[in-house]
This record gives sequence, structure tokens and C-alpha cells, in this order.
Amino acid sequence: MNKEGDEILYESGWSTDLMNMNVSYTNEYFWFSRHFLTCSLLVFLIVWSLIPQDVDIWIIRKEFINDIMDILPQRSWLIYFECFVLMGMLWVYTALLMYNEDVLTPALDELRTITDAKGNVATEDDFNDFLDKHAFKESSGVIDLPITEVCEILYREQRTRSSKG
Amino acid sequence: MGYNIAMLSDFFYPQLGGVEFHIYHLSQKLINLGHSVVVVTHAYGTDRIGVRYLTNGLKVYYVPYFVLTRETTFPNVFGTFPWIRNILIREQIDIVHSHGSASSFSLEGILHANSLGLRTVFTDHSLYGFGNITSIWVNKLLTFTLTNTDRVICVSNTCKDNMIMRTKTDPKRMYVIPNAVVASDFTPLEDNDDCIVRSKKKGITIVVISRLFANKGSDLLTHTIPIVCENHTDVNFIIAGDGPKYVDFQQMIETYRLQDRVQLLGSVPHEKVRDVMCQGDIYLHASLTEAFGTVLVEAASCGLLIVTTAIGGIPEVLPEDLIVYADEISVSSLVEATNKGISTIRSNDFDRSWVHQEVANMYDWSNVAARTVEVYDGIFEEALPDDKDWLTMLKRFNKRDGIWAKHLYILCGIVEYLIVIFFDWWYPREDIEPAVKWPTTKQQHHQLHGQTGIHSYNHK
Repeated sequence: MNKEGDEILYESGWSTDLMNMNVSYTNEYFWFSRHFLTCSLLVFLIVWSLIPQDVDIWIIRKEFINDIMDILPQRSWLIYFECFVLMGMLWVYTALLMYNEDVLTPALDELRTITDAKGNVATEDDFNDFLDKHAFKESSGVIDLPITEVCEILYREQRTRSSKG
Repeated sequence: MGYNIAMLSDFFYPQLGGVEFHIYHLSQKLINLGHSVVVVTHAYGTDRIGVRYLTNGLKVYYVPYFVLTRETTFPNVFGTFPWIRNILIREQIDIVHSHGSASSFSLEGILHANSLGLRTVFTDHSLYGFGNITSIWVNKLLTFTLTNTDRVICVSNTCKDNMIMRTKTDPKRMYVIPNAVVASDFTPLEDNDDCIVRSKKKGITIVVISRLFANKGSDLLTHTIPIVCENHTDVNFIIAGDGPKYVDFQQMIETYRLQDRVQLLGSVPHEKVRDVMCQGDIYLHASLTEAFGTVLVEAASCGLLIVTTAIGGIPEVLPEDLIVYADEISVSSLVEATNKGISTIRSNDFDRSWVHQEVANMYDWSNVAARTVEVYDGIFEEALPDDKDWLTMLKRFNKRDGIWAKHLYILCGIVEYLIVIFFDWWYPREDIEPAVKWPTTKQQHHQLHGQTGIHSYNHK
């Protein structure tokens, strides 16, 4: 890739890693250090929130642990934060389901459960024509079938059965 | 008799695009082959919601679900479980076929289907990198999902290579089945029309149809077009499509005073794409990443000469005599390739008469559907009895990826299985009413008319 192309792609903010075959190690160092720092932070947070303060752990004496804890901010804040994140996730799951159910879902008798502004509905005067042209024939564009005809095809036999019975 | 197949994706009509048309046409052809297909997607807009039947009895579930960004639902692994389970049981699904790696619907659907013991297939339609946070996130999610997916279909060999690198999926489970076009919708101008249109036209017209995003090479185009216009006084451009880079094109037109030469059409509905294409002689494509490039096949089908960057799956798509490649991804190469294309058109070296038929022979949805069915057959032929056993699936998670990711996968797996147990108790399968299936043919419809009982497909 020549410089001119590179510059335009760089300006456009588009990452060139998909087509750039010139391997640069800057990225590898960047991602390794990021990976390393993130993992260290995670391990540190786990140790900080769980380590007991009143017993010696192997060669680490409890006085030393207490000194470190004094330097760090109060541990309860970390635990509050972790609980907040955990409960937040639980809240998001519940809220999401409720939002989908209560806000986004229309009532069963609403018109938009049947048709909509984007709907391109197939209409034929004769039901037989409808069967030939739409119900059992594909179209290259997306065409909706009207609900009455759909019910006619799907449930006619059930109706016949119940009237016979 | 056929399979009961569920196509899961966030992307479907009324949104337009390669994935959407792939799902639609593949479903239609599968129905023609005697299978029963339902599409499951999220609700679009405020009113396309609930169940719709499309021609040929293709049933579409538009599920009301919170959409996060760019028509992708909020990814949360378990949230979709209750209604996906309900739909899969209601429709007596055998195979869940998901589309698109950026769609949380499709990825979560595969996880749920696996947990419910159903067979799963995933089709990937795009290429992803490795070096930014979005790609890493999508790749991890995909690695998790594909661990227990029975088959993976990619739209080109490049797409397959990319997928293997991203997710370390076993190549034996992967297939390449390209997209296709409805060739009858992309016919070149008829002779009569041709004469009228061409007599009105002076010089050469270059068409660009693309969403105007950075990854579609919009920045290359805004630099290339003024140079081409300067070199050739008889060349005009038609640009169709919309996106964040639309303003850049407007600025380019004003800066270089190209109002008479460059026509910006904005977004064009899919049924009008052919009419736009037929106004041109050359189709210019500057994409920076492309798994397949359906638009190139459509343009070739309309009899246009194609000038493009040789990126991703593009070199696999069409024979070389239909395409002029830019050697590199740069403005100068693109200008050079466009010049070459223009001189080919001027010297009448490009014989467009046979192109349409050639493309129609190469790309046909019936062929795509037949190949997909072979993939489905393969799943059942090579299935092992413990394939969908929960413990086996957990063991597979344990063999995947790094130390953190692996444990997260296992944790998600266990939570998922607990949710399955909970729902089997709370809302037993027997309480879910099976849906009435659409008759495969008109004859079957008439035969069934007199019969009693709900007609459904015999399971294979």
C-alpha cells in the first residue's frame, strides 16, 4: 500500500489491519501490555476484596496485611461497588425483560400486530388466484399475505372439522 | 419429507442488505424444496411487530425486543431464552440456522437451541479484524457460540479463512456456499430501451452503489472521483447510497465544482437498484473489506464492467474478464484501474451480451438452497448420540480459548442449563401449543381441506 492510500485510510479512522501485510510490532506490544495490566488489575481487585485481615497467610503476617489495607481506601467501598455491579446486572436482566414485555409488546387486538407501514400486502379478488399467485409461489420482493387469507388456509380444515362434529 | 428450519437473525426485511436477502431467498427456495421455514427477527420500527406471513407461506416472527444500535438487539446471553424456546418448541424446529456474527439474536439463538438439544448451523456474511475492541468482543462471543454449533457456512473462501483464524473452529465443520442473485431482477437494458437511453447519453457513466461508510472505501472514492473527472471530460458519476460519509461527497462536489458531473441519489430502494445500474457502463467499487460482494454480481448481471479493489472474497466472485482490479488500495491505483476500464469501454472491447446469462448460470438461489440442504443432511448423518449432551458441551467449552474466557464460557453454559431446567418446570413443553404448518403445495392444501387434525410435516 502506498503512502497516499495509507494517509487517507488513516484520516478516515479505518483500521487497516485486515489488508496490511507489513507486520508492525507496535500493536503486539500495545495489546500485550493492555492484556497484562487488565489481568493484574482483576487479580488485585479479587485479592483486595477477599483477603482476610486477622490471620497470617503463609509468610505474610497479618500486621503487614493490615498496613497495606490502611494505605488503600476502605475495603467496604470496593465490596459495595462489586455488589452494585452484580445487582445492576440482575436489574438490567429483569428490566430488559419487563421493558420488552410491558412497553414494546402491543396488545393482541392492536392493528400493528397484523399490518404496518412497511407491509406490501398481496390482494386478489379471487381466492383461487390468491393461492396460485401468492400463497404457494415465491416472489423476488417481500410481499405480505393478508391475515384473512392466511387464516383461511391454515384453519379452514379445523373449521370444517368443528362444523362436522 | 422436509426439515422444520428456523432462520434466526437481527437482520431481515424491512431492513435491506446482503444478509436480509440471503435469508429471504434461501428460505423461499427451501420451502420450494419441501421444507418448512420460519424466520425469527426483532420488531422493526414501532409497527412491524408480531407474526407476518410472506409469499409462499414464509412465516416471520417480529419479536418485540430492545434494539441497542444499528438494528442489533441488546446482547445479554440469556435474555432471549424464554421466547426463543417458546418459538422453537411451538414450531417443532429440527434445525436452527443463524445468520450474521454481529447479530446478538443469532448467536444467543444458537446457544439456546444447543441447550434444547436441537441441531444448529451458522452462516457468516462478513470479515472481521483482530485489532480493536469490537472485533475482539465479537470474536470471543463467536468462539463461545460456535463451540457447539454443528456446521458453519461461510459465503466465500476468504470468509472461511478469516473465520478459522478468528474462532479456531475445526475446518471440517465449515462449508463455503456463496450468495446468489435473482438474475431476472438484474437484466441488462433491452435493445429498444438500450438505444433510447444510450442515444440520450453522452460519454461514459460510472455507477457507485454502496452504503457510504468508511469501510466501503468512501474516503478513497471522494479522492478518486475528482481526479477521474479531471482526466476525462466525458465521464459522469452516479452515486447511490446513504451513510455518515454522505456529507464528504457533497463537500467533494462543491469543492471541485462537479455539480453537473456527479449525481448523488441518496438511498435507493432495492427494486430500483437495477434501473440505476443500467444507466451506467462501469461499476466502481472501492470497498476496504468484503466477504462476498453481492452488489458486484448484481452489477455484472446488468452488464456493467466492474472496477474494484481486490479485497476479501471479491477475487473469488467473478471471472477475471469481467473485472478490472486496482493493484493496491490507494487512490492512484484506483484511478489507474478506472482509466483502464474507461479505455476498455471506449474501444468496445467489453462484450456485455453474454455476461448476464453467464452470471445467471453461476449464481442461482436454488443451487444455494440445494447445497445448504446437503449441509443439513450431513449433520444428521454424522451426528453422535452425545453431541447435544450438556456435559459433552461443557467439556468442549473447557477446551476453548484462554484461561479467563474458558471459565466464563463454562459459567454461562451452566447458568443456561439451569435456566432450561427452570423453564421446563415453570412452563412445561406440553403446555406450548404446536403451530399449524403451512401446506407445501396447493394440492396438499386441497387434500387437507377435507381431512381432520392439524397437518404438520413428517420429521426426517
